Amino acid sequence: MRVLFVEDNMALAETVVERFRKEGHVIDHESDGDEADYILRQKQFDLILLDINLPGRNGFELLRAIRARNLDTPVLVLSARSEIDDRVVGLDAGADDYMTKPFDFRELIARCRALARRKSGLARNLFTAGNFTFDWGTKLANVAGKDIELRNKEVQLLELFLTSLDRVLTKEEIADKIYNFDETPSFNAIEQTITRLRKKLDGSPFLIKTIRGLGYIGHMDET
Amino acid sequence: MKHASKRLTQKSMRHRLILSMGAGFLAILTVICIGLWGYAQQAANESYDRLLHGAALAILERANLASGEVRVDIPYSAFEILGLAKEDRVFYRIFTQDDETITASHNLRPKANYKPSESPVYWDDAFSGESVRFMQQARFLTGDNRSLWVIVQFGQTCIARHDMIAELFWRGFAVALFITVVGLLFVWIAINSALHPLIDVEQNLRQRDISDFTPLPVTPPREVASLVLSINGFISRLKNNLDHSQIFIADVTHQIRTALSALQGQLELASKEQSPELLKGRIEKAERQNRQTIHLTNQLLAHAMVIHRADQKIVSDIHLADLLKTVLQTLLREHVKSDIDFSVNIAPDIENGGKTADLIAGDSISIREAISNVIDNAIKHGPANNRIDISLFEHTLKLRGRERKQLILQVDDAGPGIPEERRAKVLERFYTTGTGNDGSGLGLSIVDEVMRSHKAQLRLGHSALGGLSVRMIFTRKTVGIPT
Amino acid sequence: MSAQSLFPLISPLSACSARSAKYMLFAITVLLTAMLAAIPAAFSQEKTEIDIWSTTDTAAFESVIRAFETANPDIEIAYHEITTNALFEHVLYARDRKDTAIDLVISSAMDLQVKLVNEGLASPFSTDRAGATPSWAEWRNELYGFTYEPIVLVYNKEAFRGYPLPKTHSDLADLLINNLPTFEEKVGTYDAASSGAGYLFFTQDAIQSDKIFRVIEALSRAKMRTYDYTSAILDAVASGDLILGYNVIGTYALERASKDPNVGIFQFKDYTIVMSRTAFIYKHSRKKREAERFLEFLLSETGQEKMARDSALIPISPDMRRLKLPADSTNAYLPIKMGIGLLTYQDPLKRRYFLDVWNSIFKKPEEQ
Repeated sequence: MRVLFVEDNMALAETVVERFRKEGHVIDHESDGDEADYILRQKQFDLILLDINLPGRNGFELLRAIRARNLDTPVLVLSARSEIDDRVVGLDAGADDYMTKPFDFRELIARCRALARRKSGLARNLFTAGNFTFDWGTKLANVAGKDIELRNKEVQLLELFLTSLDRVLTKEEIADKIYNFDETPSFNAIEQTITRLRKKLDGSPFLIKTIRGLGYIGHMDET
Repeated sequence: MKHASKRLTQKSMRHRLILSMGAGFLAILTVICIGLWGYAQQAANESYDRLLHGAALAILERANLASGEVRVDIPYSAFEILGLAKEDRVFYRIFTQDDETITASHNLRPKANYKPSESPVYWDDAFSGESVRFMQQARFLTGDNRSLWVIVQFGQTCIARHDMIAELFWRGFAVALFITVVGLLFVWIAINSALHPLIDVEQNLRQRDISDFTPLPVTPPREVASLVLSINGFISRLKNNLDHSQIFIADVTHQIRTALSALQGQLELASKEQSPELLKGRIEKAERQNRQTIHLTNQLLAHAMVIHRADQKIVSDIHLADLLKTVLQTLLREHVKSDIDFSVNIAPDIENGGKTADLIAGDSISIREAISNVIDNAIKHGPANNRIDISLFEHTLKLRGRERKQLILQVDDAGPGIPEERRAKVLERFYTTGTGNDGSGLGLSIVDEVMRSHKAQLRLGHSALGGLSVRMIFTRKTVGIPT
Repeated sequence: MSAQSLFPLISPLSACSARSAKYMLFAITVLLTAMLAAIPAAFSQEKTEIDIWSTTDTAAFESVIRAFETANPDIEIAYHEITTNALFEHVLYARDRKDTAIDLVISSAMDLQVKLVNEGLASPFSTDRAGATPSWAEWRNELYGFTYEPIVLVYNKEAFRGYPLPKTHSDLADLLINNLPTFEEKVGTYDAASSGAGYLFFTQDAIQSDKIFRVIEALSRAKMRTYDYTSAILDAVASGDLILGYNVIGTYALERASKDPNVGIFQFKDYTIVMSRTAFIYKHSRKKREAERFLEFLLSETGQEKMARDSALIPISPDMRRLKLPADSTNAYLPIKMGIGLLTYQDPLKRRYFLDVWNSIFKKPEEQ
């Protein structure tokens, strides 16, 4: 994974860079917004880690500039500001995820991996997380080298969760996405499908959390 | 600023009082003037009508009927009497009931529809280019073979009357004006003496050292005394508040320093550790300690933020159900792996209700902070297999015959709960239940601040699930103002 | 020019106008300006002419008018002398005809003046000197008295020798009744019927004293003769035709007495009526400003002093009048008070009653 880390605090930058290198990623560090913009015009990255308070050009401005150039590199915003407004603005400005300082390194790397995978996975037609793979083309899921036999509805459900990881999916949303007009959607049927999927993928990092009354959250546990 | 405020005080008190008193006096003066004018006119007319009456009587006394002929010998006194109105011209005519002139200075027109009478009649008219007061009086003369009414008609110009009216009026006016001026002077003095204690209070407050919290001396009058007592009450509350702030700062200092010391200790121990096994344990402890310090810092900042935002009075329309869902989205993501059994129950009438079904007025960032703190609190203090029920429903409160819609956000858990006697305590800062968990002691305190600044209620109770039940009761906004 | 020489000239014409004043307004006009035409100041500027209608002898007034004209070269005065009753009629007639050829009206008949002012024919005039005028001599800021003239008894010194001078009106009555043969047809006074001033003095007598009826009775028994003019009375006394002249205007009497040793005057000690010549500005005058200046002059210190020194008139100013009043001045001066009271005897009915009585007593049968 090739990462650009834009951060003006050298101490923090040093630790993050070291951690990423240890994990085997290629990471470039820039401490100035304008400089970062320049680098982004020269090189391709799989992910950008972006601090908001920067000398030169601040994080939001940089983000807007990137998005204005139709550069779809995933961006994870790091902010020390406690007001959530900043996060919202960050996401609205085109960020893919955010984290508030101080953060857990494991969490950071997990999120980075998820973001990078989302893009590269789509490109390679294969979703990989730990011992779990899913081929978008053949619709085949594999856990620890074993192919998992999935029914049609289960595949649809898995695809839905994989495209919206860490998001609450309501039963209504699920019903809308995987059932046709002529099929009678039953919340009970969804619940049963999810239970079956959970069971079939047991042992993989893929989790589905039920929140009664609200819906489900799909998650890849890679920490 | 000092200048402006001083000017403001003067305008608000002295000027307003003196202006309103002045207006009152002016109104009274106007009424007095109108009254005076009427009185002066009446008095002048009565005085000078008497002259006309006297002169008429003197003349009629000298009228007699001799051998069928009316004889009138005007006495000198008659005109002498009229001459008392020194500057006035006089016109007269003496005639019979058949309008036959006996003698006259001028051919005066008698009063219309006059019925001869011994009591005088008066009227005003214009004559010879001046305004003239007329009077007419009759006397019945009886002779041997004839009897008839003899009528005297007088006209007198009104110079003396007008002079008298003017004199009476201006004298009365001068007295009234004098009383007004003296009255206003007294009002001025009274205002000043009434304001004096206030000025004392002002000077005392202005010259006071910023750290001086001694009460102001309470002096009469009662009105000022009660003001001073209020100020003293305020001073003592301010002092309490400052004391609390000092305690808070001391507490914060203590908490952060303690946490940092613990971290420092762990790191030092780790740096001296030889055994790789034990070193790992040390570092893990240090990391845990660090995480706790981070949490404490975040909570302190959140606490400061909600207080700051409450002072700023940031208010907008908030859809509480939507806000709750957003909070849950962020919050639950971090607990996907946990065994906690979450359940969300938004009442159907809110979920499917109209646009205003879940509308409240407030600061969304503060409320978001409060909700996540309540849920965080439930997660943190509960067991690994905790059950947390989050519900949002409407409640109609009947208050003095008026209906008030409330939106209640309730969070129940199956944790240890809080004994009733300590429920008030947990809202205080840095109070922790002391069960060895890593709570900052600020979570519910933040919630309490947010609820108070939103005039919402926070109720802690025993949950049916066995743990704590937290209720946040908001007042529903009935009509949404587009913002 | 002496008063003596003027009187015969004016008198007949005046008498004529008194009888039919309304038709003889042009009666007598002595234009002083004609006499003063030679004064060079005249052609230096446009002159304004004011018409003064007066009962005062031109001779007595001439010096005052000249003094005014000298001081005010822009004003010329046309002075019209006329008798009291005729003046009264003339002013009323002028009013009815809306005649504006009158600017100032001066008369010794105070009651007639008051009556004219009461008619509203005067124009108000305020002067700084008003304070110096006694309040009895001023009315409505319109009518101002400017002389102080006692009404005196005139006697022929020669004929009166041997008789005690009567101190009071009662003394006079006693004197006449006790010496009827001597005084029969030797007492004279104004004809109240034709002389406004005479009428005023007798009616004032009637107001002032009850004893006047004794005096009138005495005068009646002495077959008092009546005259229209002061000069006629003074002539008669001087010539010895009359021994006593009753109620004669002191101004002319003093003037005559100072020149004729045969004429003596004295003032009653019980009361002596004082008459004041009065002036007012005619309401419809077109030259009020100039008329005011003349009236101002009359009342001024200069005017009063001029009157005291160079005319027969006795000024009203207390300081000045002392120069002219007889040495045996009495304290019993009773000035006639100006005001509405004077209208009493101007009542037509009252006047008729009075004159009926007067005529029945004093008119000779052939004259009635």
